[in-house]
Amino acid sequence: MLDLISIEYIKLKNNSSFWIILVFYMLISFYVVGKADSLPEGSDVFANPPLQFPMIWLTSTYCASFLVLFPSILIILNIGNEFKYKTARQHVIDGLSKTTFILSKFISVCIIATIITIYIILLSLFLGWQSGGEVQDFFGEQFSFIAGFYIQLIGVLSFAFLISILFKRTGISIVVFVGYYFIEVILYYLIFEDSPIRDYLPLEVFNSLTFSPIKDNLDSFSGLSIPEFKLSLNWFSAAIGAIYIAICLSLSILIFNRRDV
Amino acid sequence: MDTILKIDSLTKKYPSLFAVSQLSLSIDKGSVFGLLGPNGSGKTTTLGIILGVTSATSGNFSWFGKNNSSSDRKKIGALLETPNFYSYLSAKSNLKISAKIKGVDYKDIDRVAEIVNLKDRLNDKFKTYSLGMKQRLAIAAALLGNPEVLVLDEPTNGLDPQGIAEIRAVIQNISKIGVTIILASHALDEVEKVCSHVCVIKKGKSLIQGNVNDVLLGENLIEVASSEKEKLKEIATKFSGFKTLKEENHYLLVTLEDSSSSIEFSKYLITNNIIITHFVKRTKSLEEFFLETTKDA
Repeated sequence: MLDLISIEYIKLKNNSSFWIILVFYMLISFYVVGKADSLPEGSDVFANPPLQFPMIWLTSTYCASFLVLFPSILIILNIGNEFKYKTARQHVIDGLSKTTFILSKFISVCIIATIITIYIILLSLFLGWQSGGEVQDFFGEQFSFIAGFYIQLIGVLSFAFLISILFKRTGISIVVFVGYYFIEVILYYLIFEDSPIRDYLPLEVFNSLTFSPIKDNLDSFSGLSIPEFKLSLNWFSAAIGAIYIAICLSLSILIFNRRDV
Repeated sequence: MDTILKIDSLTKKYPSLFAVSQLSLSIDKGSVFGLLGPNGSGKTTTLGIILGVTSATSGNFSWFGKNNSSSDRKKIGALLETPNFYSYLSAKSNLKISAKIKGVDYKDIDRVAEIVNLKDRLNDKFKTYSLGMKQRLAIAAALLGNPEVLVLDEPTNGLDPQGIAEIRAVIQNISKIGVTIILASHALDEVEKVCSHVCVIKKGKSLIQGNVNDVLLGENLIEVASSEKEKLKEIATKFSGFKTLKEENHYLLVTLEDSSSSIEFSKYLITNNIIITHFVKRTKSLEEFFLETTKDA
């Protein structure tokens, strides 16, 4: 296990596109989250100042979740490299089983999701501390959205992972990955319009793990009284998300094992 | 002798052809086994199967006399088709990855780099390497952890003469220390020069296999000529190890029993007062043999 982590660490550490995309993601998310309170000027769309504790946990995870395309592309590039350089093949020749190879690559998913989540926590602490205000509760129930964000991140990345194992080529994988967003929108609004199934579509499930801090949205959230609301992650959705992650990983293992590399 | 690899009726069928067909062979410890065949004869497919990257349609193989598990491959160093490395990483980082997979200490990296003469270039990125260096790096990676077996698929492909000579020297040195080597090649002289055993394959089928000398020098042929041709014929047929005789151009082509030596034969002729003007022990060249065997298979 430790060997597998260090293998992935060597590959990521020296990969310039990894650093460029990661730093870019960090800068953009810092900017987007930092600007969250300035968008609707003077209005009361926010129940609480969005950058104050503990609302910041909702704001940061919700904003950052819109930028999930960046780490997804990182994963697609990362997996695509293994096929482009034929190192997937070489790793199996050198003695990894095909299943172990997929698991070692999944470590990259976890490494990237962990780095980003830690960054979002630090960013939230910084912005929350900067915004001042009277703090009753630094973390509160809302901190659970960090867990939601982490599951969402691993979930979307697992989906990108599955696609890149399936299609091998980076370009095709990115097109399919982005294309699926449109497909799910069609499924959500047209095909399953009146069906409860639509709430269980994978990206919908992952999206529900972060929550917009806008008042209208909170109002509609099953009768919570806003001033002192306790809003926490929907753990049922989190469990469904975890199931989707398991499905993506299992399918990747299955596909890779059935194929000549 | 210990059997390193046993292949039994291995078959790989693609939709339109049999890449490997009922291939069986057995490779002994310490031998340098050549898998010889023209391009597209199924060499790489065979190696891909025994290295776990290609699935066989039917048939079995077993390494080290055991059931196959992926960790057996950690004791095998292999270069299949092309050197597969991350172009953006340094050679050293690439070797670290291989070492981690095989569970070999990083200390071994300097040793293998020394063997393939890349020690000074270890910190350079793989993409800056020439084809020959890439090939040598792949051999270095295969040598990590002193594997019991080395599988090399066309290791000199695309190299200049100097590069070919270097790689061959490396292979010969490694085989001297008792490492079993499986070498796939379409280059006849390569197999002739480095291998102890050979299997000639064509269209996935084994045509002939065995000790290189048995396969290649199957016949004990001697070209002999004398001014007294008729007398030579008469005397030669009376030699104890005589087998067949054929007239060819200006000389006779005599086949002897495997056991009898050409020296005995020449002594015998001299003692019978034959004046020899031409005496050559003919080794059927591998090329001749190769073209002959693969021609209409």
